[in-house]
Amino acid sequence: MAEVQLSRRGQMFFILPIFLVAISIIRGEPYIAVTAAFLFSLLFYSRFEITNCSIEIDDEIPQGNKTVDGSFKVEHTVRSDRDLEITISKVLKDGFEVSKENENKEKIRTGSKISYRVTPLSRGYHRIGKLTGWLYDPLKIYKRWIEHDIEPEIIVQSSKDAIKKGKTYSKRSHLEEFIEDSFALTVRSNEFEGVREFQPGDSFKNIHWKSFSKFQKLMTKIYERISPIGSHILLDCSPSMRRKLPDGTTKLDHSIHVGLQILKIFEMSGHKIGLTAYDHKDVLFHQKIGAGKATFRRLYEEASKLPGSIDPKNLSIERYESSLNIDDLDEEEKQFTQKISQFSSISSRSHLSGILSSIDLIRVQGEEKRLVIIISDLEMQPQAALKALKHLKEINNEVWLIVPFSPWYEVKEVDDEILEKAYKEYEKLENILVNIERLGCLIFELYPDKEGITIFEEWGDRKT
Amino acid sequence: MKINKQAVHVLGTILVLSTLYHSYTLYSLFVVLPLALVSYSIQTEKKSLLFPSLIIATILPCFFIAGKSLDNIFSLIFFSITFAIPFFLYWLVSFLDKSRIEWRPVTIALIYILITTFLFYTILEFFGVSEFIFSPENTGPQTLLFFGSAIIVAVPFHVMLEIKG
Repeated sequence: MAEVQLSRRGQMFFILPIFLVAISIIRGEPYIAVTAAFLFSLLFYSRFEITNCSIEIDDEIPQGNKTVDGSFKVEHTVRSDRDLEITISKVLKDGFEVSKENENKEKIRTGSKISYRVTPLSRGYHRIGKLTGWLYDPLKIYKRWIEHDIEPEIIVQSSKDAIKKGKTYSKRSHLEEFIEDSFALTVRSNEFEGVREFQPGDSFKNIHWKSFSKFQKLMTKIYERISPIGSHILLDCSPSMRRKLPDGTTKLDHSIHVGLQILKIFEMSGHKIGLTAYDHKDVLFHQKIGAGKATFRRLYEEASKLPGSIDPKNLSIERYESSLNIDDLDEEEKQFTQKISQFSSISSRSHLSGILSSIDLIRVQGEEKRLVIIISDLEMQPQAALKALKHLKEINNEVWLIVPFSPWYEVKEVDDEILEKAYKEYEKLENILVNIERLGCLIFELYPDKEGITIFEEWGDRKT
Repeated sequence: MKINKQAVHVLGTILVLSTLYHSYTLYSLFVVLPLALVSYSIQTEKKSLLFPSLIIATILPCFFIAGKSLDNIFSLIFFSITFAIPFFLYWLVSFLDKSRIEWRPVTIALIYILITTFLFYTILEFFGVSEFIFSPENTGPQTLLFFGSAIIVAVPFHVMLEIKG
């Protein structure tokens, strides 16, 4: 689209001097032509106005948490050195909806404010979109196309109502897909077995070109067998996990319960299994992947020796003591790991942290692909957990995160204050989880229901 | 805004008187109607009425203007000051929302007129070759020449602005 063009009025105005010149010729009056020339020069006036007009648009998006279905006001202040007229149409990206009170086009003057309400439709990181519009000169002869990207990135969280409501179960979770799909979490071996006829959907990489000349057909290479990758569980045993809940159990109890079941399933499907238990200071127990026979039995015994519950009265934890900024966190980390990660341990440079030490232990075994399942409530040292996740992803691991939640919001009849507090804490946690989701990790949540049964489901399902 | 309104009314009055003077006929009083319409739409701020009424107010006086031929430069300047420049300002002021006019773009627009005049009237007058072109019998080619010259200047000027923009 041309940046500056004649408006409809401009096109009409362009004809006017030509028409006057025609009259001038017909009537033999040069005076009319002089008038026409003066009128024609108005085009230059407009042109000069429009090309030399600088325009700035400031975005104002309110601070605070944005939730799904909770609309918020977006304001733009248009500043310009001249008083020109702008027609702005809002172009929103997917994931947002403009409330219907506002029309999509409105005419505003420079120096004034334009505002509209926006409703986010899905959770996560979003940019709103961009404003586009026409800038007119005072005579509206020329118009100029303007585009403005709305800069700030917005974090949208789940709505309060959705958290209060009961859970929704997806018909088919990722976990089921992984279990049903025999090729999931496996690595193809390099043993060449033979060729078969090319079927639609086969990868072009696997075409056996020598056979093509022999059979005059496309043939696909087949490899001998498929070996499952190992799976390793990192179990957080920090005090926050061991805090006693009203029903006498702890989050750790539920986590061990689920963790052992997962290990059993993976062992049955041919994976090698391993387990590391850590607390906020150090590694408590480490069993590397593929260490001999009867691994599951040994892990089962070790899990029963893990530390017991703590009375919440004797425990004070500063929750989320430091702010979480993934960009600050990663800048150094990335450079460091790229250059000298081979020779160093990631835990030695940071503060003392069990999870980072565990990652070091895992890395010692080599860098082949494996599934690492982290079970942690992320209440203590969320930054270290993020660092660990980032590092695991960098060395090509599949990472799942299982988050045991406080079961507060499951109880239906509680005070509003407690609910409010629970909601705030959930918001903070969700912030971290959104960051983790961006790294490409699967996130599951874990919580006990009223009868004390452990419920395990995908976190991403609840995008209401 | 208030000053703008007054300026439009004053310029409208000047244009009526000027049309009367240049047309030598009382029929030219008809131009009062469209000019009054412009003043009315400015006063009541009915913007949709402004552009059509301005077009009528432009075309109608042009039917009545019947001056002498432009056989010398002074008649051209006199006509410009009494009619063409007020007309130019009339268009400008009717659309401006603020009381202050930005003079830089106005100067740019007027420079274009001055260059045209200089190139195709003053130089020819100075070298004494204007007798053929500016003879009273030859009004048709004169006007063609004038506006043709305008186009010739306008095109490079447009290109220049495009590059700058």
